[in-house]
This record gives sequence, C-alpha cells and structure tokens, in this order.
Amino acid sequence: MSKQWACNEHECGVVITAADLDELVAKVNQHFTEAHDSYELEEMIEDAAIDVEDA
Amino acid sequence: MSTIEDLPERTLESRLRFTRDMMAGPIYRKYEKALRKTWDPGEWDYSQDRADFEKLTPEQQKGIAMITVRFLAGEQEVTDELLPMIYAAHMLGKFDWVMYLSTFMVEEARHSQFFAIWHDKVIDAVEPDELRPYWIDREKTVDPSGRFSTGEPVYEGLPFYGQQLLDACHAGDIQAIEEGFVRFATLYNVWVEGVLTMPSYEIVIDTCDIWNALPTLRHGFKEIIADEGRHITFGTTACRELIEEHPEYAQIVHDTINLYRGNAVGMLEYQRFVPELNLDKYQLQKVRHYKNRCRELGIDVDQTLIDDILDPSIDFVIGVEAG
Repeated sequence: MSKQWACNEHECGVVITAADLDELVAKVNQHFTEAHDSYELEEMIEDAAIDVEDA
Repeated sequence: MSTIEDLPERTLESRLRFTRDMMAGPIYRKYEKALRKTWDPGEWDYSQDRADFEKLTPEQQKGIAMITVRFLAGEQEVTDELLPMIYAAHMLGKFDWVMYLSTFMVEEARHSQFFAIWHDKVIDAVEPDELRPYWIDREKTVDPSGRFSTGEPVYEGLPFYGQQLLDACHAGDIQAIEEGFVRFATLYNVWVEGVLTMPSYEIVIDTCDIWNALPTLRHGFKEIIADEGRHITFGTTACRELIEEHPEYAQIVHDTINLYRGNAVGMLEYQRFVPELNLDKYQLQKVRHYKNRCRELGIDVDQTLIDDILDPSIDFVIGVEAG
C-alpha cells in the first residue's frame, strides 16, 4: 500500500502519493515550499494520509 | 454517608489499563513521540538574539515583542487551563488520552519557560509591569463594518468552558463530559492552536528570516510548532472518536468556532508590523488550516466561514492599545 495526501490550500487540491509516510512528509513539504512558500507539520500530514493501492 | 470501607472491590480490569489496541493506537503513538522529541530552552544561548534586538528600530522592537508577549501570556494560560481535559479523559476511561495529556501539559509549561527566558534575557522584561508597553487588548480590535467582533478565546473561553467541563466531571455525567470535551478541545486544539495561531508562528519565522535576526526565537518557534502539531491532532483525533459515536457532536464544533469567528475573518493587529510580509498568504493559511481540521475531525466545512475569511472587504483595525 502507498500513502496519499491532498493539499487543502485555497484553489490548490494537488494530490501527492508516496511509498511510505517518511517519503510523503518530504514530498508534501517540497510542494509547500515551492507552491505556497509555507510548510505543513509532520503530524498533520500523517493524520490526513490515506492508504491507496500501489500504482 | 458512605465510607471508604463501603467501596466495592476494584476489578483487575480497572487496575490494569494497558491493552495492545491502546498501545497500537494513534494517541498512544503521540505520547511515545512526545517522549522522543523533548528539548530544553534552559540550555540555549540567547546572546545573539539580545544583540540583534538592540539593533532593531523601536518600531521593529515593538512589533516583534507585541507578538512574543501574546505567546508568553497565552502559553502560561493554556498550561494553567489544561486540567479539565485530563480530568475528562480520566472520567471517560481513556488512559491513552491521560498518558498523552501528561506530555501535553509538560510541553505547554516548557513553551511558557522558553518565552519567559527569552523575554528576560533579550528585552529585560518578564513581569507584568515590564511587559505592559507591548501588550495589545484584543477586545479593543474593531471591525469598522460592525459585522464581527474579536474576543479572547484563550483568556475568556478556555476558563469558562473548562469550568463547565470540570462541573460535568464532578457530576459524573458522561454525555455532558463528552460534549464538554468536544467544546473545550474545539476551542483549544482546533480553533486557537489549529487555526488562529498557526499563521502567527509563520509570521514570526518569516520575520526572523527577512530580518536575518533572532535565531534562538526562530529556533524556539520551530520546536514549539512541532509540539503543537501533536496537540492539535490529539484534539482532532479525540473529538473524531467521540463524533463517530455521536454524529450530533459535530454541531458543537461549528457552534464553538462561531463564538470566536471574528478572530479569524479579519487580519489582526500584529499581522501588519513587517511591511515585507505577504499578508494574503496568512489569510489563505487560515482557510487551509480550517479545512485541515475539519478533515481530521471528519466533519463538513462551513463554506460561509471560508468566504468570510477570504472576503477582502473585511479588515480590522486596532482600537486602543494597553499601556
């Protein structure tokens, strides 16, 4: 199973998928740095992450 | 009147609280993580911050201290007002909540300690008379349109709803405890920590970056916000558990947020003190954090609240400053 997370920033909605939680946290924060000049906390990413079938 | 000899013998299950399910659960995991992530502001060096602060203009000094003093007071208040949550967790038989909340209280105390040390060592102010020049009364912040008012959810709301929760605990009324817990956690973890304060952390961190100054203040905020991530998601996880059993509790969340709706819809005083800051960014963040909290709680968002936060015609001004 992979981990998936959707961005809630206004008018964004990007969906990010990663092999595990550590990779998901890194990818989400890369997205926040590049797209929103911000960051998302690890706990919040972990709590909102859902399991999805591997691609 | 009964005596201690009249009490029934305790069952083994009431004495041994650990279960494998509890230890595998999300709140117990937060407890374990909190133990691994501890830090000590008493070991930090504040000398560079003092040197940097002395080089700031008087307007910059007042601007940054106006925020940090609010944090200093707020952290003390929440340390002192956390007890009802622990009592409620005990009454609801949630031992993993009690264990996690023991770390939560230590962390709020540590945040208070950090801000006390920083103000003492950097601006020579730690007691009320020394800090009064930097304090702004949130009650004096006004919306010129008259549609919204700002209040003090930390200084008025938490003590009030905390007392209600204590009363429910004393009475042993489980439904009232659950409802009171959802109301208190919504105000504290969801709204104050999880929405209203989140942009303020980023404002301070961004300001330190723009000024290339105050490295220990910046470091402290980064450490604190990591702790806050656990606090916020404890509140949303615990409330979600109760809402899944009683979907009607979702309305308590919306009603509690609406009590202090005005604190989110306008830009408050200290969001303006650094001209280089992109203020739109922080308004958009409030929407993101609100939507995140609703997602964690498993409840629908109130779109009218989002529309109000994003309405550019709503803007607040400072009324009367204290001191």
